[in-house]
Formats: sequence, C-alpha cells, structure tokens
Amino acid sequence: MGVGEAGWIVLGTRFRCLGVPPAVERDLAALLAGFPPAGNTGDAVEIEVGGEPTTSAQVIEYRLVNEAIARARDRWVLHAGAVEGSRGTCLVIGASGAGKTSLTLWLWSAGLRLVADDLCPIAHGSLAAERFGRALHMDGEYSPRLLGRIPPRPPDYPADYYPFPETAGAAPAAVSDLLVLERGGDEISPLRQAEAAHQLLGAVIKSPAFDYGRALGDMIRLASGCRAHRLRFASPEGAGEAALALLRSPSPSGEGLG
Amino acid sequence: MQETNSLVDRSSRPGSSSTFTLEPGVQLEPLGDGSAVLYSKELDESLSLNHTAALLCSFADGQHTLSAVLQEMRQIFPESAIEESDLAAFLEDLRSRQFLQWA
Repeated sequence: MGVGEAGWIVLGTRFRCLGVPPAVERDLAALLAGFPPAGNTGDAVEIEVGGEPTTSAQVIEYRLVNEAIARARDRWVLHAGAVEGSRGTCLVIGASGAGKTSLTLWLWSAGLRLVADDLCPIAHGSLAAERFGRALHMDGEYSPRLLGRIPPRPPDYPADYYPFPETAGAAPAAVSDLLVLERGGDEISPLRQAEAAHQLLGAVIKSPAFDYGRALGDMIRLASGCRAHRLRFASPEGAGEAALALLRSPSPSGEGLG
Repeated sequence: MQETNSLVDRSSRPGSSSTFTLEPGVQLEPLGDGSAVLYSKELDESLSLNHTAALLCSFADGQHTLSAVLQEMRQIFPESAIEESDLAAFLEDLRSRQFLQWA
C-alpha cells in the first residue's frame, strides 16, 4: 500500500493524501510517522496533492497540518513548545524567533519529555495538553552544545527535519508552568495571571473557528492553574539552565500571588 | 438634547464627583493573584490589568465617585502615592478604548 492510501489522524481529523508523487512518498511517510495511523480511511479528509513532481513532502505535510488546525473544533492549537517534567507540563511561548524551539529542545535534551516543539494542542474545557508528534523542523542554527545532546538524525531522513522522539506513552500531565520567552537580558521574573492569560491567548492560532471569548476564558483558567514566568536570556544555554532550575524547583509559598 | 448632553458628559474630563461604569458587554474577570482581565464582547478585545487597575475597575458601578475611590485605594495601598489625576487618566484611557464610560 502506497502512502497515498495510508492515512493519519492529526488533531482529531483523519486525513489521507491523494496523488502523492512516488518520489516523495518515503519522505512524507517519515515526516508524518509521529501521528497515529488512520486505519480505515473511508471517512478521511482527502488532501489532493495533484501529483506535481515538484511537490515536496515538506509542502504536503505543511498543508496537512494547516488543514488539521483549520478543522480542529475541540482543541486550541498554540504556537508553543512543551515539555513534561516532574511538576507537570511546561509550555514555552514567545514571539517568532525568540528561541522557543531551541529552549524546548534544550529542555528535552536535559531529560524532560518532549510534548511539542512548535505547536501544542490544548483541549477545550479540560485544558489538557496533547502530544503533537510532528517531525522536528530544525533548519536554524542551534548551539553545538544542544546538537551534541540530540541523537544523530537517522540516515535518509528528510533534510532539516528530525523524527519526533516520543510518540508513545501516557498523555502529558496537566500544564503546571508557562515560560514566556523574550530576547535579551538575563532575567527571570514571575508573570501576573492576567498577563499570562494574554500571552497564552496571543499564542493561540486564530483558525476559522476561533472564538475569542471562549479562548480567553480557557486561557484565563489555564493561566490561573499554572506558574508563569517571563524569561529573558541572551543565550539558549542561559535560558535553558534557568528554565531547568525553575522547573525542578517546587512552587515557593505565595509565588505568583504578589 | 438629552442625547447631546449625554455625549458631552461621556467625553469630557472627569471630576472628583464623577462616577463610571463598564461599557455594556464588558466583563471584569478577577484572577486569584489580584490581577484581572477586562473583556469586551462587542470589540472582541481584552486588556490585562495589574492589581491596582483591577481594583480600580471593581469600582465601576456608577455609584463610587472618583474621590471615594481614591480614598479607598489609598487605604488599601497606603505605600503607593496614588493621585486622582492618575486614576482619571487611566479611566479616560479605558473610555477611549471603549471599555468604560463616565456615568
């Protein structure tokens, strides 16, 4: 069975891709291997690739994920990295280029479980974080120290990508921490819950079904239940060390209540 | 004439005896750490408030005058140098953003 007949479940929607050029089937299967197989794809949403020989696996995967986000009705999808430690799940958000992926991967390489490196689904209502097994897109410049901690990419894996390392296992623990990453300085400071809620709201992808009031309500509840900090560090190592120390520390009495 | 007067009152600078309310459809969501979120259903916009601003907005009931609010806030935050002009300027800013109106 070719990849065209296979399918994947992404953000709760079953998909299959039609017209995938044979030359990219292997790469596409590799990129989507972190998502559950759809099994019987009779009710699957069909992504018509069109058989263009120049269509890359990366473009098809991007289309599929975007379509999944647009169709998600029971999850918020946040531009966020996420790792799971002893305290619970920690979300990492920040402006584009702030270093979310670097910090997330740094924390993963330091022993925390990877939940998501780029997009983190959060269930409506329950606010449970969901592991998002998208292949890691690592086309930026990462510190040698970080790269030294990550196992080498499998042979023949698509360039600039790395397989999502932990697709199996129990659902991630409840969100316990939020790190808002900003550039520059060497500082870590607690965030008020209202500001944390707004930062979370800003990270939610505004899909066609986005409902501002409902999203705000859920992000307020999410912010109310977790410890939030702003993190400003000049280097990924500095941010990583500070975040790791924070995530390994218990909640000081009264923290976040000032 | 009534409507014109009302518009003038709502856009003029407030005084010590002015009272204020949230615009219809605006909700104040207090949070556990004293901060709060103001949400406007009409605008689909929200603002995050620190504990001082959150407390100030909790007086947006059309009953508390600015001078009464100032007294209350000075009692609650005795270490802060709160001036009526600061409160009025903040409330004016909220009014300009259509989150609040002078009553």
